[in-house]
Amino acid sequence: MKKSNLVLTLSWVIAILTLLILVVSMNKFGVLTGQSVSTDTAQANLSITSQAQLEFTVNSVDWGEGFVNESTVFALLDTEGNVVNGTNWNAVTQGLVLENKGNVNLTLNLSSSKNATEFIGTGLSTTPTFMWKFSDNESGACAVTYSGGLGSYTDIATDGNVLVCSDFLWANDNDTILLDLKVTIPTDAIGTKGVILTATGTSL
Amino acid sequence: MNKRVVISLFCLFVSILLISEITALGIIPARISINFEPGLEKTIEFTVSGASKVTRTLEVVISGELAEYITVDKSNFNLQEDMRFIVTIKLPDELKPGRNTAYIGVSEEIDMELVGGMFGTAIVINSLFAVDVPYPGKYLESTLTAENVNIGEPVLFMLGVKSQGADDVVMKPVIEIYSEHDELMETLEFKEREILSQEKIDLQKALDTNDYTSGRYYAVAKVNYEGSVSDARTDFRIGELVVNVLGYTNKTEIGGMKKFVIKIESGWNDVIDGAYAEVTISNSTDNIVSFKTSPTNINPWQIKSIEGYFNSDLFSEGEYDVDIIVNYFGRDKGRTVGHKGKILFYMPDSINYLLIIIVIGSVLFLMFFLIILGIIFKNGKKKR
Repeated sequence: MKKSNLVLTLSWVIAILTLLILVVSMNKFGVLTGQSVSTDTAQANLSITSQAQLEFTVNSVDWGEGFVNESTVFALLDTEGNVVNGTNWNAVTQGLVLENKGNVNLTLNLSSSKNATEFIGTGLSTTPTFMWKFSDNESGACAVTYSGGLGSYTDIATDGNVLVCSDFLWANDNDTILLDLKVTIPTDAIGTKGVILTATGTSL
Repeated sequence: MNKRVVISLFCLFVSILLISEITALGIIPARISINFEPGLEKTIEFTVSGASKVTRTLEVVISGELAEYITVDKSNFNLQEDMRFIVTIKLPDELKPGRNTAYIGVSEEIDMELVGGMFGTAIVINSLFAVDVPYPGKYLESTLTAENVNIGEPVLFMLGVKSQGADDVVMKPVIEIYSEHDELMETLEFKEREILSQEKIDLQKALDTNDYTSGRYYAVAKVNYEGSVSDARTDFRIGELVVNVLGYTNKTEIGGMKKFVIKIESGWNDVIDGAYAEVTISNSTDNIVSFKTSPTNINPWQIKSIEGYFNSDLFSEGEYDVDIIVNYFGRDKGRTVGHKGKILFYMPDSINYLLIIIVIGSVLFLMFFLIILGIIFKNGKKKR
């Protein structure tokens, strides 16, 4: 008798457990409770804010300390590795680099606070020169409108902004421009020298 | 040597060394474009980006034909306090047809008292604010863009058309493809469609480049509408896996280890891996030295320099032959390109002069010393 009661009890336990498991499983799949399996759509919107940003990524030129050779009337220094009629100056092989770091194309203008005589001096034994040259540091970065063209030195004037690029690209690998500088220094140049080069980027 | 020259040049060196303080400046948003509404009032918040917060007061600058309708909540601000400013726009009841613009920008305030002795760089950055006023009748403006690709890859053209007229328009665009020699290669056609007044539509079309050679091309979009044409142009390049040698070291002093630089250009629209050169310098009979440059990756269309070193003491003055082979890889394909030229070896003048001066000076000093010694010895003998 006791044995049969035990079997009966166990049977009930197993049956109840099975029923519970069945209920939980059916509920999970939404069959028992009436929960419907439905599809729905959602929409993700993304807007990218436009940003205009300009940067001098190479911003220093260091010719070091030197002097004009005594037997000559001027020395010439540039940022393409040339030191002529000068002693001890370092050969600088890297000019300034401007990068379009935003996500829009820009027009690029450049201006200088001084021209050659204002920068180096007036009334000297020879006329000093102060020149710049623009070129694509990365191919195709600049659609040329500069009157001097890319790749040739022109004298720096102070009569306002010079339009260098009508379309300075922002895409990476095509967004940097090289600015080389060249100066000639007469032997009798004296005084402290200073000049500001200003780059203006305007969103297109 | 003129001391004044030395001092002045030292000052020049210092000023050049101090070139460029702030080097970056940005503004968000970069452009805002709206359709005209008479008497419209609108406020826009701008944020300055990219600048260092350590120093610098910035000045807000408004310019352009719409400048008189724009006010700003502050004309200058210090980045340590806030990187934002707000402009308020109040449009008049009428503006001229077409695009009317203003430029809202920031520039660094340069204190000339502080920078009187400095050689510096400065940035001015301008955002574009544009108001489009419809022209009477029908008028379209278009823009065209495309990316560079490699041979066999499609060029995707994006054509943007904006109706700037007061009336709706039916348009039929085409894109003409030209070689750099102005030869018409083919024409891509779009279907005819209507564009409403003040509406902007962006269209796209792909060009199959399988029958094209590598090189520079340009495309001209012509949007025909009811007797008129709006056009736009874009340039693009089709690349192939090639590296061109643009230049190399063609003269060098004799004396120790010297650097040999090769300038190379990629004609490929992907990254070229592991480009390096094998260089051999020889005379008419023998190879004198061979060396390899360090390897480098080259970005699409990039011009870059690779360098190697060799012992120049193996050479005497004169001209030698140089043979350059550039090895490179693109998408697991290996290629080489060869280039032959000349290189001149010369003795540095300054070393010779210095050596001569030292030798002559030493000989003179020795002679003087021996003479004095001889006199002293002779006098000593006489006294005895």
